[in-house]
Amino acid sequence: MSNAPVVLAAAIVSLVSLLPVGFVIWIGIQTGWETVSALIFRPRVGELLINTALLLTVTIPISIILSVTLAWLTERTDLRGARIWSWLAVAPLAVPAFVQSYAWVSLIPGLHGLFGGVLVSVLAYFPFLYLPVSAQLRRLDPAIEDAAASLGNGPWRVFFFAVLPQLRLAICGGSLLIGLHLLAEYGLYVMIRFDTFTTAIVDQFQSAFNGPAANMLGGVLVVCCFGLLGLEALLRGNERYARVGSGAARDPVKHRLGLLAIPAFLICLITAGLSLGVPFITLTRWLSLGGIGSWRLDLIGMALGQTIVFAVAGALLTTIITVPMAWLSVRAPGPFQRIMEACHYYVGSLPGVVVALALVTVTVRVALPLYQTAFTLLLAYALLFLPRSLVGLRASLAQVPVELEQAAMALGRSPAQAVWQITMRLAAPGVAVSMALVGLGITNELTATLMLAPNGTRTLATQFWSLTSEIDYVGAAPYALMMVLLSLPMTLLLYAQSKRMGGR
Amino acid sequence: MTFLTVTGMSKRYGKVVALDDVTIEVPAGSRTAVVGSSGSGKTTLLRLIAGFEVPDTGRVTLDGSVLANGPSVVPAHRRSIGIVAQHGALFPHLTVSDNIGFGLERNTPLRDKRILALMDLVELAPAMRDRRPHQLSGGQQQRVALARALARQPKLMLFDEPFSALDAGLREGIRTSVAEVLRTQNITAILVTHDQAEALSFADQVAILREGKLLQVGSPEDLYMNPRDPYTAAFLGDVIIMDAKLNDGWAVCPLGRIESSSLHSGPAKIMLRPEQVVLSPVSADAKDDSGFYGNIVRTEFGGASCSIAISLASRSHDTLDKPLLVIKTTSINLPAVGSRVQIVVLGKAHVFE
Repeated sequence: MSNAPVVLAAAIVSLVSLLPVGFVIWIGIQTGWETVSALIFRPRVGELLINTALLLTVTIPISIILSVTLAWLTERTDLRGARIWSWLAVAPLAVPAFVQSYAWVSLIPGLHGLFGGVLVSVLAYFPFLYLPVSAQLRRLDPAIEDAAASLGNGPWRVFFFAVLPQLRLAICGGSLLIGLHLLAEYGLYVMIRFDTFTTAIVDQFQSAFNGPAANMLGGVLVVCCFGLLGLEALLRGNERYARVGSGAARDPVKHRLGLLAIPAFLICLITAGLSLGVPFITLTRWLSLGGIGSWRLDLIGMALGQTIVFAVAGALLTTIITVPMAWLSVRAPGPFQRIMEACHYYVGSLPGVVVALALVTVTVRVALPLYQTAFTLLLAYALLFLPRSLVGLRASLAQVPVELEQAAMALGRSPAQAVWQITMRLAAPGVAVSMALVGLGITNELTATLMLAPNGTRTLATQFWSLTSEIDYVGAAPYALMMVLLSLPMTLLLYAQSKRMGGR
Repeated sequence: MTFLTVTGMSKRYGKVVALDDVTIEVPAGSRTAVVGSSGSGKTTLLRLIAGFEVPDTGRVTLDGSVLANGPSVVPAHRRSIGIVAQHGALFPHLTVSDNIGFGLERNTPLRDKRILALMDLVELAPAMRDRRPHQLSGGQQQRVALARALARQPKLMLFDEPFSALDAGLREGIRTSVAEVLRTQNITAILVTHDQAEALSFADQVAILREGKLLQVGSPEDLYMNPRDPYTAAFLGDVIIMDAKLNDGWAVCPLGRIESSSLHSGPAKIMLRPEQVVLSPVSADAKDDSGFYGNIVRTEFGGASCSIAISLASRSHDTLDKPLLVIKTTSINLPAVGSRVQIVVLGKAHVFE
């Protein structure tokens, strides 16, 4: 049986996923070094770099401290209502970052700059760290802590020298995810009036369309992304963290908080209040202010309809184009396959703004009829959510033994039929979940949608955006509510997955 | 009549040679067992015949039509070869009857009746029809897998260690019933296994693979009694291998003068199966030139078969030449340690040429 058609399909997807970086390099060469250096080495870029660096270096450590504290309290102490607090620490994922900032700005109109940016970023993104850290804490073998304690270490030393190092992978992975989101986020920082590369690029793009200035900023942003990826790979190291030895680990002991229960309770309460309470209060306030009148059902219905169409079509396209790669990485692993897989993964770490810029430029210069079409927008979605889809597909394909495919072929099915009728059928539940994750990601996508959508497109996110830009906070509230409601299933899913990962 | 012919088949995975120039012929209606330790290439051979792998070189011909000639192959689904895998490979999302009917077209006349007849053939109760694979025992799963493969009336059936996942007690029963089904349906079959006892009892023809090379093909009796090399001899059962001097159809060895299968003369290696050696207790001072004697040095009780170590009383008075003979024997009347036995060899000694 030959893999050639599958390899070809996966290779084409890999080449397309190289498009954004290829575009940055190509545009750099075409613009010429003098213009490039004039556009890059100027005070404005320096300012943006400092802003971005400050945002990253302040937000990430605060998120780490907050998440590790919350994870420790909910997983390893006798904190009352730990299950509820743990769910409340994940729930902020259901509030899209630009809805979070909308909530804060309408509560405190003066909130802006680095402080505002850091505050809202931490509240919007800390669950990305809380999820892996708490899962890892749950999985840790308590025998390690016992051993450290029996070697004469007090509780604090045990935590810092035996437990914290075990959380390294989870902290690195979560921080990377937050870092990439900080680089890519647009809506949040526009509302909070804090300039980052992404906001500057969209500004440039909207004023001068497709000028070299926007493209060069995009290039610097790509370099920042790769910098983060490299830094994470370096910090992650390659020590072994898996448990040595066999057998099931004992259930961890819950530490007694004693008098510390009160501050612990306050930490959880304040975090939930800031990250969920504020959006809840402001949304309720705007909704009740607007009353039934703010529910323009015709407009909202249209936006909801378009959003669902884009989400479903995008999820389908993404899943279809990831099937060849997922199948290859499960059934025919090899060095070439690993390179192609890396292509699939890296593109998802690029900000939407860069992917959008690349697709605008390519369609305008090479394939004009595709410019501002739904197809180009769907392609951008597919590229942005390629890793999300691949991870899910791979895992579900891996659960179907190859013997079943072969049995079907021995019973007269062609290879394609065997894959479709057996492998895909058995992988269907997992595939559906990964499609849902992609679709929900698309629902809240703003930047690429703003830049690429055909004229007249109204999704929930773009409608919300245009209304808040006109300071029509009341009119925007229904859209915000719909996005939160649509994001809830995904949040539940991630929560359940992390519990399963931890073996509960 | 030769039904399946594999000629000059070779297959490499990178630097690893999985099969090296294998040629084997399978007569119509026969059962062939391919045995070898793990990594010997036996499963690769099966997968090449089934069409899941493409050979580097070599031909596969089934019933007059060429299935593979080097890299040009007929795909698996057009070969009409049935396969039963190690764990059955039943489709977990389908019921027993849907699994069995998977290879039958939807509009096959009397489809349901066919399925019931197949279930009957493999001794599955009709009540099992609506069960799911996970509700079946290992043996029942293998019966479903067999029925599923039989449904398409394949020209050839392949069995990839189908019994190795079953309990020892169950294994023999299902093996006998599979052999019975194959005999009544007159289906040619190839069984791959690492269990020599299974191969010897199941097959009309046994082929031994080692490191991708085919060592020997023949009837079970022939391979057992006349193996071409010590590896094959040891693989198929316990052996006693000794140095001997051949002379005029007789072999002179530490166990005395034994009739041999060879007319050569000079030094050679000979082989005896332990069951050829009969021990009978004698009094410690028995002295009879016609017999051969030894002292029991050690016994190990192991249920039905026990292991005994005998120090041979060499007839030459060279005290250094006292080889230890270790054989498996029945546990009935196990001689005590230190007692003296007379050793008689039944049948002929096999000579490695």
